[in-house]
Amino acid sequence: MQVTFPQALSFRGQTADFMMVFVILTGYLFGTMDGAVIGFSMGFLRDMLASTTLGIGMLIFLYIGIFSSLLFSKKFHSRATLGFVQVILITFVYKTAGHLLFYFIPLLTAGDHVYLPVSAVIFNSILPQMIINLAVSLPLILLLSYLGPYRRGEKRIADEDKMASEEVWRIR
Amino acid sequence: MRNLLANKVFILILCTLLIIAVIIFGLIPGSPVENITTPVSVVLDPAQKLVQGTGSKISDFFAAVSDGIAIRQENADLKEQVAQLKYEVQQGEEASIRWQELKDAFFIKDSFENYDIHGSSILTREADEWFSVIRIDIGRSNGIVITGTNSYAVVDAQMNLVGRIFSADPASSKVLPILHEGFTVNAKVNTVNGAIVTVHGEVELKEGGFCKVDHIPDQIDLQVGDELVTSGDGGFFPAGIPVGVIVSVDNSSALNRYATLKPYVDVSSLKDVFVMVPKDQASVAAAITPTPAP
Repeated sequence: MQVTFPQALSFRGQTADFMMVFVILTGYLFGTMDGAVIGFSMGFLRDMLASTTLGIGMLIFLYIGIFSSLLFSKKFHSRATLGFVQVILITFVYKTAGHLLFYFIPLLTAGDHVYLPVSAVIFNSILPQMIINLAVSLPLILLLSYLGPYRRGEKRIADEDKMASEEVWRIR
Repeated sequence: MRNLLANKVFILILCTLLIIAVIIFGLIPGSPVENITTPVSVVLDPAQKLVQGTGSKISDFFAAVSDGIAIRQENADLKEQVAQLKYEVQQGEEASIRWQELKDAFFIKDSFENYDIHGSSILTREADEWFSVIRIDIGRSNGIVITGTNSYAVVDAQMNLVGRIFSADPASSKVLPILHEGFTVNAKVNTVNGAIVTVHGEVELKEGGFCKVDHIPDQIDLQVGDELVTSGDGGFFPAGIPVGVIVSVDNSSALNRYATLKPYVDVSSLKDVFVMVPKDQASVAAAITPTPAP
């Protein structure tokens, strides 16, 4: 829907990024492994649908999935509503990184380069994207919480029992 | 080794390196990595066509209801125009016969006579800064074969340039749109012996729907309102496809003269596009090289 009918859910020229919000919320609600797998899969789809280079989407979304599950402590993740904060934060980082990339790469390769004014980047790109992503995260968070693959709380409890959360990521 | 595979950091690093390898190999023209998406697209494309078709039907239904009154008024106006047009068609038929006679006499070739035109619908559009190509519903099974050294022009119903085919799956293809920062085309001012310039997408102009025009020859003064068409240089695009119109010219630096072009096509409002597939490469080469009049 995101790429087939982009005008249907857009705000100030920015289209709701269902794929990214889905990855963020999966990582946030269901943990690292689910976030990574869904991130990788969504990234592959994104590459297939709208990318010039296969792999960029996989890499970005894989890390978004993992990052979403690791950001803040596990206690923070026990409140589904705080997933919105996660969506806002990661959307901000994602959009900012995109703009920085498009600013610096031509600057480094071609030297003289003019980019969009900062105000346009903020008010026509980053902010609208954060708002529209926040809007679509509400139905998605409800869907994942109540109609997702795990019963509410089941996955989190299982994770906590199995692996003392972030400790798995520490290199011994 | 078993301990290493149990370490998630190691797995993550491994995955990252694998994906980076895929990216690097994918950048090599003609790389088999491009075919990784083929199995998924075989399943996904029909499903997406169904979704796209259903969505279009629903939107058409609501549009039909809301447009009913306007259509009735328009119909009345059109009836009047039909009468006028019938007269013009008669005149046109006469002119067409004359044109055919002149064409045969002077060995003039139609610009696009060596191309098959394949109609297709847009399946997906650009998503954001990171992902910005569009996908259409024809692919290798329709004769769209991308080898890394060739491409095909994509135009709209008015034959205005939309972009070029970037890659193809069995039933779908990716199109690099004219506003994309990776898109470049040689164009000429649409006059006799018009100047050859380069049109390409720019990140800062993309949002406003404009392209940059540079490599303007020293002795040439581009004017606001000049129309650019494809020059045919390079072989990807046949000569004469309308590209857009110049909206501003910057001559402040003699070394870096450039202009801004407004493309005729509005990609965001397009539903259908047409791919120009050469009937055979030799005949295309002949069409690109003008035939001297005897």
